[in-house]
Amino acid sequence: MHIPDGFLSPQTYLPAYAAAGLAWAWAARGLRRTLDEETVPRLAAMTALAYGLGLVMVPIPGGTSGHALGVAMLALLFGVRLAFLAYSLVLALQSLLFGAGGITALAVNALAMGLCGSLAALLTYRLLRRMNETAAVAIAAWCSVLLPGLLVALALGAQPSIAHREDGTPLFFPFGFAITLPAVVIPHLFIGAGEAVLTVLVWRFARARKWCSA
Amino acid sequence: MKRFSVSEFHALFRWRERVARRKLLSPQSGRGKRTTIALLLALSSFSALAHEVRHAIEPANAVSVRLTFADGQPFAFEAFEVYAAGSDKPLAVGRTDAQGRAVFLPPETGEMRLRAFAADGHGVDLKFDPPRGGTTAAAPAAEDRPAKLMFGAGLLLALFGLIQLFVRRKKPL
Repeated sequence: MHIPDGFLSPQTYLPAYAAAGLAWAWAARGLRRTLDEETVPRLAAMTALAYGLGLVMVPIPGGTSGHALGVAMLALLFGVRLAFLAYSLVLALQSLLFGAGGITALAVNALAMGLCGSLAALLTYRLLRRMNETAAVAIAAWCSVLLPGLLVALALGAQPSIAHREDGTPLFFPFGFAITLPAVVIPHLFIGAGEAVLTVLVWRFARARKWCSA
Repeated sequence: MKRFSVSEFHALFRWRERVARRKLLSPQSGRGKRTTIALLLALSSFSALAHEVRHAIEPANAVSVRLTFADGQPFAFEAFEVYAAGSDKPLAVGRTDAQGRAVFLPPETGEMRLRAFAADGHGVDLKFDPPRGGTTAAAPAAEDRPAKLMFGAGLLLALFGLIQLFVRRKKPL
């Protein structure tokens, strides 16, 4: 799901950086109040787990590969603001060390996966937790993968319309919505299922130790 | 040599009939018929050449760039474009083969840019100096993924360790 460099036009990533800058500033507000000596080691461990999970590629039916995000467990354990900041850090490291996702695309990736993924997870969990907590965590994790997948597909699919030559040849990513939406969203239906299982396991572990903030 | 299209042949027939009607060339004349048929056959042979695609098999020093996913799975049958550095007109477009190789002929000088795309957003956009004249590019250093993974995790933990120095302490109960 990490969009690499060269796939997004400046018309896309520059406004995305502006939006992400505002979102990072919002998330960093009150950080000193939120963090304490118990939260930081837990956040460190979960961020390192998300970083590792994002680099473990799993083959998916259809000849492609996918990986878990780990953003749902960050959001459920620490809230949207901390999850967004921590996941942005994960994306920056993955980009710089492994080329998984581009620096120019970092803002789009962070907004899609870090912010919208966290929001999707937390809102879904809060909406469904009264029915069944475990199911709520699983569905929240599934949504935290599917919504970013949808947003990434939309960002990629918009590129031929946003930036093209006079003859219509795309300058950046060449495939439109009709191709990107099924190509990105369908594999993430499966990835979301894996993410759900993983998040439920981490959630139970964390809940037994009273780590949860959600 | 002028090549005639089908519409030009039709025009030629119409012209011939007009001429015949004016008694300049009798259609009943055996000599005239033979001349006309010979002329049409000769012209049709030129037209056939226009539709023929010829081929020549020549040795060439192509460059092969192998693309794989992080787990080693080939980036197979995906679209790629190759550009000379600084140009936005592709030198070659195509699809990677079953082993994820993009194969193309490099220009004589200068850097190249390779862009490869999968519809799901995977891909690369890389610049490189291709090997030329039958030489082999220096093998890239094997990517030490576990070491990088550990380095990244170490960086994260060090950063959080630093944050830990400055966060508020919980009051003892």
